[in-house]
Amino acid sequence: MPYLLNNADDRTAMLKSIGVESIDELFSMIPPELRLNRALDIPPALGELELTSHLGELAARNDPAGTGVCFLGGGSYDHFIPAVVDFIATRSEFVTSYTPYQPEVSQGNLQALFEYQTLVAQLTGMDYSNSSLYDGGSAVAEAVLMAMSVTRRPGRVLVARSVHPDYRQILATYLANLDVELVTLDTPGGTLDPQTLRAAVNDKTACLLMQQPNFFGCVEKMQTLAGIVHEAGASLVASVDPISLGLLKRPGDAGADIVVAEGQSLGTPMQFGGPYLGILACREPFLRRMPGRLVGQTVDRRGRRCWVLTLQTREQHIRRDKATSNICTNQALLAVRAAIYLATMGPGGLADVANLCLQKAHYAAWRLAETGRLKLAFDQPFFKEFVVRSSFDARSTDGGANDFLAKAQAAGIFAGLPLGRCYPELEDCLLVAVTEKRTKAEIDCLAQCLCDPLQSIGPQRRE
Amino acid sequence: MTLDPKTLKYTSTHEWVHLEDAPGGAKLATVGLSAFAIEALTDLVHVDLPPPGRAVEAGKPFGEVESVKAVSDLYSPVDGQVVEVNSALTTPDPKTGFVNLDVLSHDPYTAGWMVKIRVTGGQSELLDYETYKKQCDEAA
Repeated sequence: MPYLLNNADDRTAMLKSIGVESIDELFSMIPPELRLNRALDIPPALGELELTSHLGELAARNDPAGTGVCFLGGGSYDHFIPAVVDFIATRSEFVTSYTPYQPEVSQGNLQALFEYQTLVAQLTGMDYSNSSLYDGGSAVAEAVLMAMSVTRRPGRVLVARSVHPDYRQILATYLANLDVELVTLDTPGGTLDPQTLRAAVNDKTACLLMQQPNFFGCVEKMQTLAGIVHEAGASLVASVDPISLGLLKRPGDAGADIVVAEGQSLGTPMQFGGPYLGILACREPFLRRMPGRLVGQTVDRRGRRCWVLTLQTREQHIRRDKATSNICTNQALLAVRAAIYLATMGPGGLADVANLCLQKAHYAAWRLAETGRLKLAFDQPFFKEFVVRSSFDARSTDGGANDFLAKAQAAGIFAGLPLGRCYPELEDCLLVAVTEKRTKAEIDCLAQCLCDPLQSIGPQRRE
Repeated sequence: MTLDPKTLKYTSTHEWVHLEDAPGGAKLATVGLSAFAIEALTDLVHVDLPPPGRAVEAGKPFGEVESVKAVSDLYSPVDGQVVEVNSALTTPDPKTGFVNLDVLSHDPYTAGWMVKIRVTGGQSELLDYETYKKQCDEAA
């Protein structure tokens, strides 16, 4: 943060250079009746020493997941971030640069974003990736708008209820003022039943939006769903967990037409919910409806490899109201982090991470279920997240889910995400996420905490 | 058939149109983009045209033309249905993998036609060559 000097002498010098005598003269065009005419109702200014202490105290009231034992998921995950990610990404050339607008300048940034796009395209099995969007939720909404435009079926969109509730809400907001029917397909068994889809899809349907693995952690039958969607001439938009692609079939190989993802798992800390990274990749026919920046590789007049912003003509600073999107900045720095993370891990490393998540999540599910006090809510294959149903009454404050969570949190364990807020029928359920960072001891401790609440748990918080 | 720009009609949005009688009594409109517009757009990289069968409406966009600097809508001069699309503007060159749009600059009024529309209804206000030329001269 720069130190901005602004004392009486500076103010006098600034006023003099613009040719006014005083602050009052500077603001003289504001009529007196519109002026505040009193001091602002805020505490007096603090000295640097006091201010630093004060901010330190406020910051200490945060309870970040990274200092506890985190089984929270639902779109934001406590994955390990190798030191090399921070080492490279905190270079000032990356940290301080704004997303490029001049098509040819900032070659280093353009190259880094081009690498990101290449890695995302390879990871998802798509033809093209843009250089990122705001976050996973806005990427979902943009992908659905793309599908509505390319299929020229702006009237009907299907979404599985197993898609992240926040993403569905963002989509509903984006579509609120369009003449489109947004149909939510129920997923009582934990995944979308192909028969449910078959009954809902028709020749007016632009796309199905699904999530893989879905919000409950369950693995959807993507290839079957894709077949049904394509048979009706609609498109498949898949929101995926990028870490899961270390193990699961690439969505491009399973029939997805547009793939979106929350990229936070790829080298970005949970950081209280943002900023995050919106991944968006698509097949060739969707390219010219893709929002956001796209970096292309070419050669300069001497034949040397170089990079340039491509298809910029469809962005809002050129096309105004006819732009493909009017919310299309990118998360350049977080995209660079993702590129560094993916390049560091490599296909083998990513497979290892995914496999560790899978194994540990299944161990955790077994540990929680074996006591009989909790049971898995869905009988479906899952990846790194799962839903457990408790036998207790979640609404009661005595021994209910919230009580468990509070006890666990006091011991430094973030035990899971209660689902009642978004799924009333799952009020007695918790969504538990297990990343490669969780140890056997931590998982055993969670089981003890959730299944045997009377036994006291020692503090698990790391200092 | 070679078309002479002096005998064509124009929209104020720079499309040219050639109207002729078609079998069955309906009129057939051949539509393209004027040399003036193509020059103003500079290097063209992509043309998005509707598939045959699509209904179009006078004064409403039927496609897009994209240059390195801008994307512009193409407006239909008539109400009708697309019956044919100039595949030279949408088919990639097998050698390069890219669509070569040079024909639009070299021969915008004949080889560079874009769509043929069977006219089923009304039409936009169309300008003759002299009036259109005057509009362009004033804009230039």
